[in-house]
Amino acid sequence: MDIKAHLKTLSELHAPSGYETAAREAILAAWQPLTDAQETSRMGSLIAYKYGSGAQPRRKIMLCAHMDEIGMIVSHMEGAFLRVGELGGIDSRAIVGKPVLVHTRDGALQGVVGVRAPSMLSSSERRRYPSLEEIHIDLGLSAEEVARRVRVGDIITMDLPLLDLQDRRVAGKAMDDRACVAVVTACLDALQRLKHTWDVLAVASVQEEVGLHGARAEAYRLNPDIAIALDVTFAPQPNVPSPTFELGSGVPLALGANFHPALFEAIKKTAERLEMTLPIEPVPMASGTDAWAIQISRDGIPTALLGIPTRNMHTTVETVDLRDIERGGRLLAEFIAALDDQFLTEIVWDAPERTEKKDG
Amino acid sequence: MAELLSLRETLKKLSEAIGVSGEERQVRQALLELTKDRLEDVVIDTMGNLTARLKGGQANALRVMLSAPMDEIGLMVSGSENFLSVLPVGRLDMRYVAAARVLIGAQKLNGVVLFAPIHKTYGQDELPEPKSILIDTGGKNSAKVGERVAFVGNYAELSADVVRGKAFQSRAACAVLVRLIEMLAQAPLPLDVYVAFTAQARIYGRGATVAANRLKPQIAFLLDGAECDDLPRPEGDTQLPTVRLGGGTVLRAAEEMGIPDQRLLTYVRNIAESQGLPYQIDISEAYGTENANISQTQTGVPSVSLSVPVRYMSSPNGLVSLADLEHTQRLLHAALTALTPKLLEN
Repeated sequence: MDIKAHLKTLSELHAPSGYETAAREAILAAWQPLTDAQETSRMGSLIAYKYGSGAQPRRKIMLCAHMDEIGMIVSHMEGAFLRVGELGGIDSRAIVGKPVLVHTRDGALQGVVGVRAPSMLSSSERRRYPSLEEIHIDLGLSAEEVARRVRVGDIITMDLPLLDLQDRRVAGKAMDDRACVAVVTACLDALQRLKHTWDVLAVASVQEEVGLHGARAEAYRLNPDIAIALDVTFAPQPNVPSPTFELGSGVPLALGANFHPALFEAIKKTAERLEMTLPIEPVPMASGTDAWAIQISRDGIPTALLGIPTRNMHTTVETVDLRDIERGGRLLAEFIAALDDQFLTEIVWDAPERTEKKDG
Repeated sequence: MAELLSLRETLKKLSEAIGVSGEERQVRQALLELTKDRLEDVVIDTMGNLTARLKGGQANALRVMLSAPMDEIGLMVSGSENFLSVLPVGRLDMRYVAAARVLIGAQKLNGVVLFAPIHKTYGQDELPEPKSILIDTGGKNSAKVGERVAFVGNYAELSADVVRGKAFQSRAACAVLVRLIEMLAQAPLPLDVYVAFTAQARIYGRGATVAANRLKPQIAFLLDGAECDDLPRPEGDTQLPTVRLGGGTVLRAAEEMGIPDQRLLTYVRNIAESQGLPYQIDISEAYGTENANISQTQTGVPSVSLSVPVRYMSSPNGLVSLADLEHTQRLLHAALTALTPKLLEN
C-alpha cells in the first residue's frame, strides 16, 4: 500500500477533538476493504473488526490510535477578529502567521493566525511569544461579514499540506496521532497475507487530546483480552531531554507501570524473532496516552504502547519517518499472527497465577 | 507580447517568486517577463536592480523615477550537519519563525524550522535569538553554507478583496508598478519615466541608492508596503489605528531615516483629495522605505513614498486589499498626470 498517500490524506483532513467526522470517514474508507465489519461507537470512535480464524468464543486484541487533532474554538468576536480557546494542547508559540480554516455552518473560511504589529507592543512584549489570549484569527472579512458567518463555538484547524522532506521523512499537522492510525492501517494490510486466530479490533479513538475519552469508553465496551495503544513519541532535537528516539530507528515499545510487563516481553520477543530493532522507552508513571485509560478499564486490561518518533510535536511540522510507520505495522501484524489459545496464560505477573477466565 | 495578467494574477505570481535580499533573480526575471514589452534601456545593474526607461518617454520632459522593492526577508545557511544553522537576512520577527516551512537555495529544498514540543518547553515564552534557528531537511549535510533560505507563504484569496501571502511589503508594490507601467504605456504622459525594481530594500535600501544614482531622476515616487495596526488591542491601549487594511494608500509624514519632501507629500495628498481616492497618513517611525536612500542621492532628489497597507507584514502570510493596490495605482497615476516641473520651484 502507498503509506505516504494514506498519511497525506489523514494529515490534511480537519478533525479536532470532539469533531472527528472527517477523520472517521477517511479512516473507514481505508479500513473497510481490510476488515470484516465496522461501526461508529456512541462516542464517535471508529471500530473495525477483522475476525480471527479460531473457534468461538475468540480472544480479542484491541489496537488503538486516536484520530483527533489539536485545534481551537471561537470564544468570542472582537470586531472583525476571532478570539480563541484551545481544543487540546495547541501551542500559541508555533501557530503565529500560519493559515487556518474556520469551520462555519456554511463551510470553511480561510484565515491566518494574527498578532499585533510590532509598533503596538510594549518593550517586554517584544521579547516574548504571544499567549493564546493575545492571538486572533483574521479572515480578511469585515466585522459585519464575520458576525453574519461565524458563531461562537465554531472550530478552527491549522491548514497546511503534508511536506516531503529528504530520506522518506514527511512533515505536517496531526501526525499526532494519524501517523499511528496509518500504522494500524499498515498492520491490517499486512494481516491480509497472514493467518490469525484472534479477533482484531482496530480502534480510531476520539477526544484523546482532551482527556483520553474515546479510548476509555471503547476499552470498557469492547473489553479486549489485551490492548496495544499507539501514539507519537519524542525524536531528538534541541530542548527535548532524553530519552528520545531518532526518526527511522524503529518504533519504541514503552516500559513502565502503565504497561503489562508480560505483554511488553511478548512484543519484544516478536521483534527479536523478526530481527527488528525495538528501542525501549522508559515511562515510569503516566504515559499521557490512550494506554493510560485502557489499562484500568473493567477488571484491568493488559496494555502495551508503541510509539512513532516525531519531531516538533504539537506543531504544523510534526515530522515522522515513513519507515517507522511501515515497520510498526509489520511488527503488530506479526505479533497478532502469533497469538494463540495459550497466549493469555503467559500474560501473568507471578504465582499464584491468575486462573479466572475473563468474560468473552 | 507577454500575456497581460490581472492585478490578482500579477500579485500571486510575484508573491510566490523567491527573492531573499541579495539574491532577487527569480523576482527580477518574473518582473522582466511581465514588463519588458513596455520598457527600453533595460539594465540589470551591479546591485541586481532592474531599471529601464518607459517606452514613449519625452526626452526633455521632467525625469521621473518610479520604484518598487523586489526583495524579502529570509535566512542564509551558516552550517550544515544533522540540521542547518542559519543567519538572518533582514529584520526577522521571531514570532513567525517557530515551525515555519522554508525553501533552501536554487534547488528549492524543503525544510522546516525546528520547534521543541510544548510538552517539554511549556512556559518558555521568551523569543529566541535568530542565531538559534535550526532547520531540518530530513537529510544530513543537505545544503551549502551561503545558500539563501526563503519562508514559504500560503497564497489564498480570503475574499473578493483580501488576499493572503508572503513578501507583500515588496511584491504588492511591484504589482502596482507593473500595472502602472501598462497603464502609462497605453496612454503616455508628457514625462520621461524611468522605473526601478530595486534589490536589497530590506537590508538598508542600498539597491535604491545605486538605482537613483544611475537614473538621475529629478523627482522620485516610491512604492512600498506599510504595516497595518487596525488590530485588536489589549484593555487599556486606547490608541486609534493609523493604518487600516482597505483604508487606502499610506503616505508617510515621517520615516525612520528622514522626512519626506513636504511639497511632494502635500501634492500627493491634495491629488488624493481632489480625486476622491482614499489615503491614510502614517507617522510611525518604526521602519522606513527607500525614501531615505533615494532622496539623498546626487545633490538630493525630492521623493515621496506611496505605500500599500499590509497586515502582518513580516509574516509569511500577510494580508493585502486589492482595492488598496488599485487605489494606489490610480493615485500615483493621477499624481503623474498632473505633474509639472513647477511643483519643484518653491
